[in-house]
Amino acid sequence: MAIMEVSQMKMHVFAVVFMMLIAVIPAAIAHENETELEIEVENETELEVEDQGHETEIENEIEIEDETLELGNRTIIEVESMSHKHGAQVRLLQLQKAIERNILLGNATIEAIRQANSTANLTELESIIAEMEALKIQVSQVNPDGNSSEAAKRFVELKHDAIELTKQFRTKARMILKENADRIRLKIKVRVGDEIRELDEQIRKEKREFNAERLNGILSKMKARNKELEEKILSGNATIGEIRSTLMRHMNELRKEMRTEALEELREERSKMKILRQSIIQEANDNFTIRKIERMEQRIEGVKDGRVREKIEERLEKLENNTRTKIEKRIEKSEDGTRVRIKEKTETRQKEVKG
Amino acid sequence: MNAPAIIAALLSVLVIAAGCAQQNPESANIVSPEEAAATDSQEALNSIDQTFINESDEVRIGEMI
Repeated sequence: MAIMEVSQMKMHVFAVVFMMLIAVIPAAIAHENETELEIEVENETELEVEDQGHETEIENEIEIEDETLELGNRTIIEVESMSHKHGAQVRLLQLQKAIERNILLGNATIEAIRQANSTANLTELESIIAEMEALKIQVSQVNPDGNSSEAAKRFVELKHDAIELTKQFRTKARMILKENADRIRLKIKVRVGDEIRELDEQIRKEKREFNAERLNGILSKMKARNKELEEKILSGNATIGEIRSTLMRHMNELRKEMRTEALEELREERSKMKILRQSIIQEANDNFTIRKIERMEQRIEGVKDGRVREKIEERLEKLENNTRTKIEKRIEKSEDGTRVRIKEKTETRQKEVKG
Repeated sequence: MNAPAIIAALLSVLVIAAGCAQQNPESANIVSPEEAAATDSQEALNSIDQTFINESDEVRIGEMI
């Protein structure tokens, strides 16, 4: 009897162990598959693809509707801070960082696709990354110290190109990956490179310089100074909330007439910002597409790989054809300079390619 | 006083009050100095908020996948 009980117990233990093994094996297999997709995962800071849902919002930031440029709220705020040297520097460095981040994540995506499907054609994706590399150089070449509206205009244009290239990459990658796209998106993590770390450091420094400069600008309208707060900002120990409440305290301490005067000056400054914004939109709108083609041509020059270059040229040609069709439809009645210039440009380039 | 008389009195009061309000429509828009200062301060706050760049602020260009 006792022997029977021991044998039954053994059977139970065996059954439990067997069931546990059955449960663990698929998890182990799944884990193996997951690790295959993780690219350069390390314990230090990593870049990863963020939750989706903001894409439409971001893509609407700089919208070209019927060849007319429209800026979203975020871009407007970004552009407004560019009327100051440090603000312009912050925005250009931030754009450079955003492009570098997407290049790293894009390369990791290409690698993940290659691992998932060794026969996938990746030339188009590689050409987009190559163009983003060239775009990053274009951003780094914008002079933030010179004419602020020129720097802001270049920022708007190059940010538009960055958003568009990102969208093109995402669409193409999702087309290749199909239903696996979401799974791979969650798996992609990339180690933050030295370039991003350096950019982060510069951005932090420029942001603090900018905020300290703005603090002094506002305080000067109240005929006041606050050395302590300025130093706190420069050392990175002041929050925006603290700056805000200190400024309000200064404002409330003013006599009524002085406060009215200070508020009037602040109002004037906001109006100047609005005028600057309008002039940037106006300038960026003038010949937007022609300048877009020129920017792409500049980027092609920097690409050495013939195969990748060819793909960028294909995209350029598509843009030229689309633009020509749009313009021809829009201004059939009048023969204006834009139409002739695009036509000439396309023909010259086609001759160059053939040659 | 009977009920119809009370109702008539109340209605008269309402009509007179409405008439007064119509005669002086600006009375509702009078802003006290404290309220004006608060509006000014709010305007200043909005202006200040948009002036500074937060440590966490980023330029966003979208995701690659």
